[in-house]
Amino acid sequence: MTILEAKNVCKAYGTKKVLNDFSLTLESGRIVGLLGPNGCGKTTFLKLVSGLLVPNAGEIAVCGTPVSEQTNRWVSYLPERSYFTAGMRVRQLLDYFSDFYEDFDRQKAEQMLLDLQIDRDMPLKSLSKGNKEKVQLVLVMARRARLYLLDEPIGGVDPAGRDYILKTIVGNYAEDATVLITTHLIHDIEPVLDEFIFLGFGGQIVMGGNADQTREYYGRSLDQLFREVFQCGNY
Amino acid sequence: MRKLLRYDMQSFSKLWWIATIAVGGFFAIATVCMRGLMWLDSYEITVSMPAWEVPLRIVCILGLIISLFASTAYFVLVIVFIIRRFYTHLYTDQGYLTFTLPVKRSQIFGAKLAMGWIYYTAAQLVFAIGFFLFLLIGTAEHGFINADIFTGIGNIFSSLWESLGWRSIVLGFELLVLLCVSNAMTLLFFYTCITVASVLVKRMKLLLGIGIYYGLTNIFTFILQIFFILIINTDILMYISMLEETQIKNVVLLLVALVTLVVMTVSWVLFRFNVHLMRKKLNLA
Repeated sequence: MTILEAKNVCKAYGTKKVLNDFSLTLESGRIVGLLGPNGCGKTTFLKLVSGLLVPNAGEIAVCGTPVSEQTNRWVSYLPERSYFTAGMRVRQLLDYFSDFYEDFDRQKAEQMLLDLQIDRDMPLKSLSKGNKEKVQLVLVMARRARLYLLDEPIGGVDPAGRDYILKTIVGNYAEDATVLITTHLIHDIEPVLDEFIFLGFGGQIVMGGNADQTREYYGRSLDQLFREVFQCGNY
Repeated sequence: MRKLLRYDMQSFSKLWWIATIAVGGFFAIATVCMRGLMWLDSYEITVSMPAWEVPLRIVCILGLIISLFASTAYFVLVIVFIIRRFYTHLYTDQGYLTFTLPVKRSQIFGAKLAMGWIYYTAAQLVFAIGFFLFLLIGTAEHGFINADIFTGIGNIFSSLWESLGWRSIVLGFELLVLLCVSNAMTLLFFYTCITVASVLVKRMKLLLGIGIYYGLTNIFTFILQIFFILIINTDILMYISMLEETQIKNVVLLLVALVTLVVMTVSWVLFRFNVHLMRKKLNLA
């Protein structure tokens, strides 16, 4: 089943075209890495899918429905930055997500917080950057969504935390759901990827496909391939 | 929308209560200073002025002025808090959470408007009650309260009833509705300016929004002044003055109703415009 379909999507910030005629189709039950250099449009695309930006042209549909508040029911988005109200406590965020998302599994969220040793009664402003990111990830992954959009999920997290997060990503999403991850830490993320997309500037898909088959064919890891493809000066 | 409103109300209540308790304190200080001045005025000076009379009088006057100014500043603070909350929840990083909820844009905006309206109207009530208590207690020459205030209010209502009859009730109702709708329009105008600014720029959204607000306010004020000058220079006022007394009263009711309708229409347009911008032009880059 097609989870996400983007057709001829264009997005510009002023005169700068970030995505130009970008098209992408994702099937269900895959973990897909959206990889590319800084400024190539990865975050912009995730924001377009989650409705935080409106494309200048083109269409984006989740489960066949154009992006709207309806598709927010099926999409669980983890932004690269913290989006919490500083005055809230972790417990209040759990209440918030339970109130608004029917698919939010509170027990799972509390178990994950326990595993990560994060106190539910802790005010968010007293959490470290890494712990805030962990809390955000817990809230996102505790939803039984159809499409997970994770923007740099392991960027500011310690190595042990990264292992736990990757295990959570693999272990906690439903079989018919899709996870779309953007990251610069390709070495850490590639073991969990089913598919990958190398995105160049302007939304140009430089390379993509099955991760295992590509590694086998080229005899190199995705990380090494990325460095070769996006060597400075090439793009 | 109820859930959104509940969270919005909760998130703002602490700030509002702190500001309200503070303004209560300022009105209490103003009352004490007023009573102090009245006591000094009634204090019998026999041979010479006591040494503490002048400093105490200065303290009371300063206390009264500062407290009344601070109480007025309460309004500004409440509006600033409301607008700031609107801006941070929607057009900063917190907007990532708000706009990814499975909730319609109209409900998000409606909840923000309802929250702002409730707290702004409540602030007006608090100020009115505080000012009334200040007059009631602060101007009492003898005893705890000044009963003449009630007599005065009674006289105003009596003369209104004598001159307008049943129309006074209708007028009172119309003015109440106008106040409520005006509060909504005030907030909607601020919200619209911030939303427009957020669509136009990535940085300094709040600053640009405030700039747009003041620019548009000045333009509208200028247009209103031209409108009133035109009205005064036409025969409309002369025509109205030639009407019978009953007809004049009905014209007044009609005018107030018309103004209320215009304010409601403008508010509705601003509401739809904001929701349209949020749907089609959201720019949380």
